[in-house]
Amino acid sequence: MKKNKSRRSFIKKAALGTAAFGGAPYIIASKGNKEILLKREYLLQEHTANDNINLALIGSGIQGIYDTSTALKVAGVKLVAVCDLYSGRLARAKELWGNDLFTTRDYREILSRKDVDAVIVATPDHWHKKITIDALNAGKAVYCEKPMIQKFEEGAQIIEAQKRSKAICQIGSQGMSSLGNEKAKQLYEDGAIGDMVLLDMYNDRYSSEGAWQYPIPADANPQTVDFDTFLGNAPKHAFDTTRFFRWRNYKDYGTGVAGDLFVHAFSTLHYILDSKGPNRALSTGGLRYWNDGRDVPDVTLTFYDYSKTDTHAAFNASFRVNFIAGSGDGGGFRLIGTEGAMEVGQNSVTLIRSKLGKIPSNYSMIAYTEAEQ
Amino acid sequence: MAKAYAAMDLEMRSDVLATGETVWKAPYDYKGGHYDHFLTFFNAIRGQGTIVQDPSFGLRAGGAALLANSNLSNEKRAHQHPFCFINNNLIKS
Repeated sequence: MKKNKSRRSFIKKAALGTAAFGGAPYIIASKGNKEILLKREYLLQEHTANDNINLALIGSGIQGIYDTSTALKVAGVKLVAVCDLYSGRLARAKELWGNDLFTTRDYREILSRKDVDAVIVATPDHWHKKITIDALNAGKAVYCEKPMIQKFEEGAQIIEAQKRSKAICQIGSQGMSSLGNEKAKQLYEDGAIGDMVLLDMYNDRYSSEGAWQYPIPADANPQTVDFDTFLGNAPKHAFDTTRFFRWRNYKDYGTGVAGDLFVHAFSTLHYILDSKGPNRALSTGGLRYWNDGRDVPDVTLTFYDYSKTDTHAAFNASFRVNFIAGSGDGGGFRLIGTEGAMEVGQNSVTLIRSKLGKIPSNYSMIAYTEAEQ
Repeated sequence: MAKAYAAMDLEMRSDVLATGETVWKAPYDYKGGHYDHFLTFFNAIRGQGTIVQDPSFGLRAGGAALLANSNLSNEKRAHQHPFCFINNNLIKS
């Protein structure tokens, strides 16, 4: 980043008032205590039949449904096929998106369809790599849910498959594309918070649903649920609807709170700072309340160290997730710098700038004689 | 001492004026980050624009997250050398 990150430069830019960018939000910055409206200008695109995109969903659970419903709001996108290992979800897909939908329990039947241009991979984490690579090899564009990987070594294989196939592949930390995140990146690059010092992230949850105790349907049985396919490369296990419907609670299939929640924060943080990631981590936590057979903690605290790079100073990051937060639901994502702080969300950014005290007060003057003071 | 500090002219008027809180907010009819993320994806398929959150980006974000777990499952973590992540051999794309 070549931009000067000094306070004076930020104020000067802010004083320029309105700056409009093509397709980017307005910046109407000014001195503090103001509320400013962001704006997203969508290009009016004319679609021809050739621009139509046929979409398929692999993994029609909670996030798969939210993904697909959102994707279908984009003009020229049509859902043609859905895959899931529980037949009740295939029935739900037809209920949501029509009886013409092709449904299957075998994702390979989706990849072999010539009419499918793009797939959403919203399966449990331990299936991301296999299906993403198979889809890329089949020439499909892939929207793969986060975290992209369940095990570290899977990353290089996906990168390689994408480069070889030259197909489009995007990972699903959706908040990164938001107006709030985009504005935060601009503010950071303009020097609004000075040099990065600390990232403070927390996520408090206080519900069974928030703690991944998803409902288990009454008709779940070995006929309606393909449990063996669900297991995939995971260790063998007897039929277990809890493992199937609450897979996040098990290391064999999920990635704990880090893979579900930290990863969003990392995507936003790395985007804002143009960072390549941390050097090291120190983590602690435990299982404090949700003793339902899960083998992952429900409280996790992790500190990360980031080294200095061309785009940011050396800084520390603090992540905290609590699934039994008696204080109630809540969360925060705050970048704290030498000259200010930003609370960043998808729909807003709050910039806080304070005065650095440089002159000692009576607090420390008290130690000296009246004459000396 | 107070006089000496005053003479150093440490408090710039511009610094004092530039304090406070500024909030940038999306309009009520904003389609949201999720929509924008899919728009980016479909635009790229249509040959318009590029993907920022590509597999290399996904590995760095996901890998950083996994680092918490590998560290958490290690009971002697506090006394061990922390697991190194960005040693570009592992992460290099």
